[in-house]
Amino acid sequence: MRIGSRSPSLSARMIAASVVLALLVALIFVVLIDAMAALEDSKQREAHSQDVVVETLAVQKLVVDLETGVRGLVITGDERFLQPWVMAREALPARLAALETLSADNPKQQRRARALASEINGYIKDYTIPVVNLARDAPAAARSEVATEEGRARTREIGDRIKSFLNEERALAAASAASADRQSDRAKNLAIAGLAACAALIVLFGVYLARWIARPVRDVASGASRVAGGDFSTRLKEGGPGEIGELTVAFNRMAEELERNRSELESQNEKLRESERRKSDLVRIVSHELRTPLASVLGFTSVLLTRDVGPDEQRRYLEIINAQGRRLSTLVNDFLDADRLEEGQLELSRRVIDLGIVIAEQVQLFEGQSAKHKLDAFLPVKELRVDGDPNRLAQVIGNLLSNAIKYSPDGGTVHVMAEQVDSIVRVSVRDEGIGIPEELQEGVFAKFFRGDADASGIPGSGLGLTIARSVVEAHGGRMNFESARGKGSMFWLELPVAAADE
Amino acid sequence: MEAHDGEESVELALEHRPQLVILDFMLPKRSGSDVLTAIRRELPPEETHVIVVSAWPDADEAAVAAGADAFLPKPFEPEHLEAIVRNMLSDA
Repeated sequence: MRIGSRSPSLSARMIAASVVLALLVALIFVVLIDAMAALEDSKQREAHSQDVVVETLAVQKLVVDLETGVRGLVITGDERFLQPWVMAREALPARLAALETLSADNPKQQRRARALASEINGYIKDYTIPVVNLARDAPAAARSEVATEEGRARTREIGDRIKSFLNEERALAAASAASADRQSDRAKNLAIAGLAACAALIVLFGVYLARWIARPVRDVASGASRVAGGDFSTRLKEGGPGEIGELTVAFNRMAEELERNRSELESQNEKLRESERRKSDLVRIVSHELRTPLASVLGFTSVLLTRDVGPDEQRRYLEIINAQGRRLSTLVNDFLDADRLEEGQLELSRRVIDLGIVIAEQVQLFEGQSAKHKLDAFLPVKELRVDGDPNRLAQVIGNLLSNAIKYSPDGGTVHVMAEQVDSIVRVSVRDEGIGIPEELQEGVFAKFFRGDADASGIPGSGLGLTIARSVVEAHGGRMNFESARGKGSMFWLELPVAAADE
Repeated sequence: MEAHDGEESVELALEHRPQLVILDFMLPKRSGSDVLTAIRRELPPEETHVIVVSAWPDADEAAVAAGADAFLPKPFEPEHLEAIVRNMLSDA
């Protein structure tokens, strides 16, 4: 797991992306609202220009009314033709004032409006009023060319002023419309670019989601289903943004844990199976080993019960039955010992003894058992002081002697030797029998190990050496052997010498 | 039909809703431009064509602004007026 350089969490990334998107959208809206305001502004300016134009045209109409009224009076001498002039004179001051007010937004136009007003007022005062008076007093003089020419010049001047005023106002409106157009175009482009950026961001975000989140999640899901299917060796590539990385790490830890648990379970299972196998081995061996002596006991007792046999024969039969009974008892003891060993409950009643005496007793015990075998014991005169359980140690020596005899089916000498070397008592029992093949040597001290014994018809429980070695080790000593096929075996054991003051 | 002054021309036009009005700007009682404004308030250009005639050539812009379809400065040839009228009525 990466510590320290941890990438920002997914939620932080999501929030950051959303904030960027929201900012972009907000920016687009600001630009659009700004453009809309500008458009609105320009529309207002246009409307204003329109108002100015309308007002100007009204002024123009009144000027025409002035001129046509005066001219009508001059031509016809009829006062009714002067009516438009009268009405226009009344209406003009308010109109001109309104025009001046309306053009207040543009100083240049306002100056022009003022000039126009003074021109029109001058026209009314300096030309129309004298002409009207002249027409009333001397109609003929009023109709003269000079008078009409002056009027024409003055109205043309006014008309020119009005035209330039109108042109300026229209130009102003057009400029404002053009600026609004530019602004709206710019806003449109910005909005399009912004929307494209939004779309690109969303697509990028989608790709990011698919690439960095959906895919790892899918990997985790497929990994999980593999684990569910029993493949605990499944591992994910660790890493990825934020929580995804943590997820992969946690997943791998879980898979490791599961795998370890399963292998533990399997090894426990294996142990259980092994112990089951041993139990069934035990039952098989026990039944096999017990059957042989039992068969002898039953066979000879039924002979004794059903037939009349002579006293000598009777005695021989009873000896056999007795021997087989003892063998049964030994076997049962062996099994009990093995069971105790298994549970770690082997009890020793130790005291300082002379191991030489124990060995001598056992040799004596076994000496008469077989005519084919000769027991050759070499024991020191000096006592071999050992702190131990005499019965148990006798059992060990007996076991070694018994094995030496059993595995020398053709007879031969069994050499027993004991000596003290420094603070150690060493005992060895050597035979000239069949030996132990190298490939089987490893298991000699294992429980129920029988080597080729079953095939050779040599009886035994396969427990003797296991018990013997455990007993020796319980005394703080050690036990081992050397052997070669066909050349016999030499088993030896070493025990510490008992402390001198005891 | 014919009107004799500005006020009468407005009354006649609104009463009969003619296809064509020929209007002089120089009228007794009420100015021609006033008359034109009053007519246009009721009669749209699609219904009534208005031709303004005036001896004052500078009145053209005011005439068009007030709603005239055409402006004819005095003095004019009768054929000229006829051509304009034909053109207008054939369009309609």
